[in-house]
Amino acid sequence: MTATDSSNPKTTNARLRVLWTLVGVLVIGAIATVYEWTSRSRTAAQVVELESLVALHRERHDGPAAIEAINELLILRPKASRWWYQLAVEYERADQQTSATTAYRRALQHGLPTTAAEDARLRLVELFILMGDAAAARSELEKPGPMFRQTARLNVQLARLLRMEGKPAEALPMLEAALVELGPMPQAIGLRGMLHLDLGQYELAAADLEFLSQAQPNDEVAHFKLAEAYRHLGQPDRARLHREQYVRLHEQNYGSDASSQPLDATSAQAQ
Amino acid sequence: MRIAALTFTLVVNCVCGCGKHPGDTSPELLSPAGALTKDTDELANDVRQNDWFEDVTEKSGINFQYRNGREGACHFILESLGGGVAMVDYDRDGDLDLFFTGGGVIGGSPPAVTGLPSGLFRNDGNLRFVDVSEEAGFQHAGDYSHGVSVVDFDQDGFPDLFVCCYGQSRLYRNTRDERFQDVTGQAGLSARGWNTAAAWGDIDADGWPDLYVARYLDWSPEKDRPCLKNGIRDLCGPRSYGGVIDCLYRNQGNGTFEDISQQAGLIPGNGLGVVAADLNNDGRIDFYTANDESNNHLYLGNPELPLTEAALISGVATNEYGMPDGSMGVDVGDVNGDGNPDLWTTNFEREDNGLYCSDGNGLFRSATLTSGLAGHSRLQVGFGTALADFDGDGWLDIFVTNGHVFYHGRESAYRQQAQLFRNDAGRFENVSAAGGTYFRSDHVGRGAAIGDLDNDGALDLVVVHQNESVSILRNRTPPKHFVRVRLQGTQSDRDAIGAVASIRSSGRTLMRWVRSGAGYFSHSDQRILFAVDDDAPVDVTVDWLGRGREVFGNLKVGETHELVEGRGKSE
Repeated sequence: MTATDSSNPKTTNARLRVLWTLVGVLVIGAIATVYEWTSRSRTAAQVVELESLVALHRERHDGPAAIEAINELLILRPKASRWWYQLAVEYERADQQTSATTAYRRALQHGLPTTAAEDARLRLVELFILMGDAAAARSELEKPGPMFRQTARLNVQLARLLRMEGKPAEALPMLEAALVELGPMPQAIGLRGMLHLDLGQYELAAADLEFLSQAQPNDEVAHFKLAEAYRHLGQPDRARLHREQYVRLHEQNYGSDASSQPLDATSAQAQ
Repeated sequence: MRIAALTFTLVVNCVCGCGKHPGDTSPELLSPAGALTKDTDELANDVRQNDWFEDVTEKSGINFQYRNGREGACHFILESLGGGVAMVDYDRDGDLDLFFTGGGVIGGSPPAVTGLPSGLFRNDGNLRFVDVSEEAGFQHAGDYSHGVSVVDFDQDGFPDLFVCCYGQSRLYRNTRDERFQDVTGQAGLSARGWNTAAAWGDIDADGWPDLYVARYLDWSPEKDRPCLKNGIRDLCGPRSYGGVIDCLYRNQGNGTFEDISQQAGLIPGNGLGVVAADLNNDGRIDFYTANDESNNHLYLGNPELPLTEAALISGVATNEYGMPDGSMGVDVGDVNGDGNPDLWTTNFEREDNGLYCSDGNGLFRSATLTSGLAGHSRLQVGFGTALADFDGDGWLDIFVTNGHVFYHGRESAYRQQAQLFRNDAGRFENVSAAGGTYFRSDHVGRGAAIGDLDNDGALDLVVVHQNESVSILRNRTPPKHFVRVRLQGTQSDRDAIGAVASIRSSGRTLMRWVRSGAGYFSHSDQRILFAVDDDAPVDVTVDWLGRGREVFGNLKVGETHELVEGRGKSE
């Protein structure tokens, strides 16, 4: 008998062991594949289900529920920039500015299509201005990357930022540039009126704010600022007229006792 | 005594009190009363060469805490306001002593509100203070206290104290022997309700200072409503309750007061800060009140009552978009060097603190944006504040202490950093990072007072916090040359409230108002400090309120001068 004789029981056992090992590996592999496939299917199904849920919550204007559903989605798809973006939008709607900025940043980090990326960056700038963080707003504007295509919107934001930084004289040309593109948009004209007020150019301010108040007669801020402009122009009758309109609109919006009306988004929520 | 009271409250609350919400795991509730002290993080030791202020609390010998009653876990809105500090030379030895309101405790079943004793600390020089509360007569707790105001109401030359309380506010007369006597009853001061801050001013030009008391809300434990923040039990905001009308008391010159609130034509608000000064340059005292989440009020003085409320017309009722802010602290001063009294308010989060520049005729223009002050405070809740020339360049800088009112705020933290803004010819720069270690650590700031505690010519700071030791901050950059004056009225009230002192320096006229109230719940050094160019003697011009102008010439630099009405050269 030779050492390789198949009838040798030791050799047979070794072969069987190898065979069983191979079978075991194959079975485990198959199980893993099936498990992965079912998991993926399950995850995909969950994602579809959650997407439908988000749509449903949005339809019902249930912001908190939509935020919860998107957050669950992001656990399953943590690199889905589209959903980070959607989450940011929902946070913005819910007036949760800090959370919105974080979500926009995550969306940008995971790559958004150019148009959406530009929008996200502009939204970030707007949020930082609202939050009073001029440095963060400026940093976002100055980040390298493709130039913003929405120049007018960018210039409006730059004008707002410069105004917040106490530089109305620098803000004015930015806004003028935006207005060339936008045309006589009432809100932008109103902002120009406020810049003129900041600069003590009361006649120009009055003209712009009159334009805004005629285009949007229920804009209480327009009347408030017009009263200020006419007060400085030494036209008390006109100032009084606009102040009265402001008070009427303010009471209309916030009730007859303006002194006790809610303006604070974080105000108490009674149990 | 304070520790015993707090321990008792904790025990009572454990048995039958308001109860801690399961979601509230704040360290203040988990630790024994008084255990939460100043930040000891690494920032506290990071002293930098160019820091404006040095924290000298530890070596000052003062370890006093305002307690807001949070331990009771009742979550009453009463807990949100905090306390104040007065810089007052009560023993007339030439240096500023410190008086702190004590706050109170809340708890029991049904929940009750009780006061804690105030603290008085005598300045023994070199920024060392000694607790003299008991000897001075403050061993007993009054009602739950907030603000403090100082005036010589009986014109005897010794400063008296008025402490604002939830419950019964108290007038303490300085008995000239380093003690104080509670004279509230004999003075006829009803002063009940939720009184927050006070300011004094002579509304009828009779030479006696009258008392304006700001009041907050129509609230009581019985009217309390439960509120949630982020699903956790928290304090309610002011809109959950109705506003109230402030009070005005006429000083009858015989130690008693008459309530003239109704004749004065005061209207409802949610008063926190108040300042008295001549804000429209007509020679009469005016009051400006900072209201929380409602229009601020400007009461202009008239020859006869009522006062004229003119905030909206004057442009100081709301922010620059016509919306009322949640205003807390307030101050007055000439920030842009045009010689007119500008107004400044500290506000709630998501709002800018407000700067209103006066055109001198009673009209103001919102200057928050144009002066570079926008944005910096939108994540902060501002309280104590002061317009003061901290760096001795003649321009009024700004100090703000911050801290949230809600324990579980959504956008910003409960503990926040204080801020410092340097005035560069009317434009402000945020220099908080160079403020010092105090400015680089978080606190729940409330009242604050400014004054030269060590008489070195630089304005120091004292800050009161919620349930945390007060902070004493020494200004590290005294000016090379300064002159200090203390105005003393003879025809005017002795404190000369409403008078304006001015000098010429570096080609500019520096004007400083003697105001009462101001800041938040606190009283600052009433002496006026001018940083000057050199050691040449200076002339100081004083416009006494409605009583003409005098010049006090040739005042020696580096000294404090008493300028007595009638002893200057009339102009």
